[in-house]
Amino acid sequence: MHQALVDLYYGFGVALQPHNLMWSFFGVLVGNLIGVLPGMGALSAISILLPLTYTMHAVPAFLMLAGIFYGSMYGGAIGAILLNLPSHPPHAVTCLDGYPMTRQGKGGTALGITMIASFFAASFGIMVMIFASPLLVKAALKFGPTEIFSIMLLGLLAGGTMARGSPIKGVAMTVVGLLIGVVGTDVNSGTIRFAFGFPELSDRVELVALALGLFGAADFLRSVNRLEFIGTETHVRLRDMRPSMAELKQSFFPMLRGTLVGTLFGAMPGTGPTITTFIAYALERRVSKTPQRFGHGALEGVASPEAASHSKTQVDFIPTMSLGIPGDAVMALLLGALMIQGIAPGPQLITDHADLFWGLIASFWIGNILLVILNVPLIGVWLKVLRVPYRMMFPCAMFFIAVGVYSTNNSLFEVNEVLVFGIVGAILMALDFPLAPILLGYVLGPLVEENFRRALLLSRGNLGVFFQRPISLAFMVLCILLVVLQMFFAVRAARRKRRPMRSEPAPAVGATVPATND
Amino acid sequence: MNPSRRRLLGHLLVVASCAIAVATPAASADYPDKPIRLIVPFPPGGPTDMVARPLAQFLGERLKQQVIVDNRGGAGGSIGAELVAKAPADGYTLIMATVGTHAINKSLYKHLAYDPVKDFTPISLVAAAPVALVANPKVPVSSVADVIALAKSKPGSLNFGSAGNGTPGHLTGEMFCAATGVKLGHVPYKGSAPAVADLLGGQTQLMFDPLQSVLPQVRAGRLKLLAVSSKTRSQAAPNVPTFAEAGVKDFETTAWWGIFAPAKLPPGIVKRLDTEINAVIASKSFVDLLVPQGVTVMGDTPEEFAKFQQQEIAKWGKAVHDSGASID
Repeated sequence: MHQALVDLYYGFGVALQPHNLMWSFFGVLVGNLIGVLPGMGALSAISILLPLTYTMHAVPAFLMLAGIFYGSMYGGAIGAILLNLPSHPPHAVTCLDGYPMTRQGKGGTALGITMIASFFAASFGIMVMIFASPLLVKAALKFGPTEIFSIMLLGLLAGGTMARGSPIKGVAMTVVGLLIGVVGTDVNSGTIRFAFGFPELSDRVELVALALGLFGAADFLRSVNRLEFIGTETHVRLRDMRPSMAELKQSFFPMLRGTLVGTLFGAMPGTGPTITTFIAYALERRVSKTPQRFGHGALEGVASPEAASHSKTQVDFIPTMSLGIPGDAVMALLLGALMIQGIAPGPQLITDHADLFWGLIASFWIGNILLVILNVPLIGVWLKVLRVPYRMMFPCAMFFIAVGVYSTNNSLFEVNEVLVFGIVGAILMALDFPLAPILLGYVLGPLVEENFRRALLLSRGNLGVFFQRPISLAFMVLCILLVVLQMFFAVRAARRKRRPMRSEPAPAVGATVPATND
Repeated sequence: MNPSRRRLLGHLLVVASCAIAVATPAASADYPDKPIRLIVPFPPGGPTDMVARPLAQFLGERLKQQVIVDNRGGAGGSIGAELVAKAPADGYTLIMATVGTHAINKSLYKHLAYDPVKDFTPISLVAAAPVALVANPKVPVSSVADVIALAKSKPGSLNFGSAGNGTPGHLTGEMFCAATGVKLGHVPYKGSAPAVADLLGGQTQLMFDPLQSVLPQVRAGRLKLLAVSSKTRSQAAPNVPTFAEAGVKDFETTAWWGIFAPAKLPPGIVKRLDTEINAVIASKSFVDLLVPQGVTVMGDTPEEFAKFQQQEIAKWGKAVHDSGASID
């Protein structure tokens, strides 16, 4: 503990050197801007800027690249809240309550809470990194295919019913998502499933294209002839963006729960950020006393997933830095950047390159503070975007979507995917189907299947393995409880219905809001 | 410098440039006069990208033209390879080919949209890495012989992870089973990183994977390196035996990376690229970047590379056939 503080002090010394500070600032600035652009992820930004780092010293180079990564997370929520357009898939779930808040004129508050949740969660993630890395690594290695299957199954069960409106429609859309998730090459047999002859589809449907199609393009297509502004606010003062004390209180525990979810998922390499935010949202809805408010602008529905995505982002660095195992493509690229610098990633990195490791951690903090300072005044600017007429906003946003999606794989195929999912999404929205469960099914399905089959491969076909391993058993029990409780409530509700009923509590704020996507 | 000497130098320059102009065909005389695109058929950050990026940078410095790395991942490298197969043969589109795209896939995929031999002009092999056999430290083995003995005494107790079906790691594992007569369970993952994670956690006991992916873990003592599959020992791990030394006769596989251009590339450009690429490969800065990672740098001539590719296609084709792996 004491040693960690000494190391951290040393790290701040490294990170605060003007040269390093400058590159760190440059990184978060680029990341923040990239983050606002739909589909343009940290991956493309980092690979574009990678050649720049060849001639740089390792420390500033890495601080800059890492800054792009966590900086991009800050920008992502802005589009989701204000335009119902998630810049990155993890923020899709923020649309569900963030956009209704904007329509109620509380977009500034939602952004404010997002900033607070982000900073809180990132700080927590950094603390975990400093003090609990070895512990977390040890715990992370205990999560094999068996455990991951059980957790993901719980996520699927909890999330399948998270949409508002008809539960049957919600489950139906989850199944659609699972089916879309099936597309691609089967890991075990090498069979290409439902690719219809497109080689591009042998690598699964592109997540970014799916998210932007369903959440961005579909909504735009639906409102092509709408000529009004989105927001109702005409002038916004800084005071409007500052959440009130009550709102802060209301979002504190969701923020904390989201942070913990993000930390847990950050420790497990291979579980993407999108799963994390969806699970955080589903959990929040489960524990809420008033779940009917979700989807109509519940502040908790913004605070929790946003916190989760930021703590996940920071904690993601633990398996990457201390095990040398990248959690996702961005992390793989960051490790690649280190190797080009002649630094071998892996367990010895922390001792061999202490300046890099502790400098990085200190720069996380500095970077996050810079991001908050950068973003608070910008909220006002973003809110002005709402006053841009739709006829101008629509083509601009579509243009950025196309560019961003193209950049994910340098291919036009993904842009066409957006179009297809946009049209499908618009039709489904017109029929009042919720769209969020599709994305949930899509991200969870393949993980559930892959780990289920891998666990059975390892246990030589013994299904009992899911109940023999303690962590897995705990989550399986939760799964069963969830199903049983759901049935119990359904039966009770059915019984009550037979008796004469009092008038049902109408959704307080959603009534006047036209159904947007869920 | 006096005027007469300056004039003499001027004459010499004219003569020299005339000589160069005569020696090379007109089409390739001014090559390259615009940036060259190096297609990497896998996403950024992967092992192929790691070889391609330094090569692109140093090659660009030598050619005085930018060499741009263009990641076109997808379908096991097929999307990038097909793109280069159909590109004009002018030397401005090259591919960082792998043992997968230009040897294994021919036998692995039922339908391949390109022909790894007919559609390409081989330029030069760039780098190679042996496949390593690593074990979780808790598994009571310290040599290849131990693995064989344990697998024979307790059949079904050992599983090996791989980066996926039909990867060099998977096929080397299957070749190992065939050569030694033991049975190991194969557990495929989506890429190397998750497979290494499960090996560290003890979910799997063994893993076959190109050396550079597991070397950091080996150096930290979290994995035991039992053998490497190359003909000679690896410079990055000189005290680890090869499979042949460990008693598995005639056992050799390598994962490799090399540069191909579209078919029918003019010989002048082939020669120029081969010369410059081999100069990069021989340079200290390139070697110093790759060797510590467990990758061996390899230079050769276009003819040698073509012959090597044929041998590799035959070798891996047999392994694919024996293992029953297939992707349609």
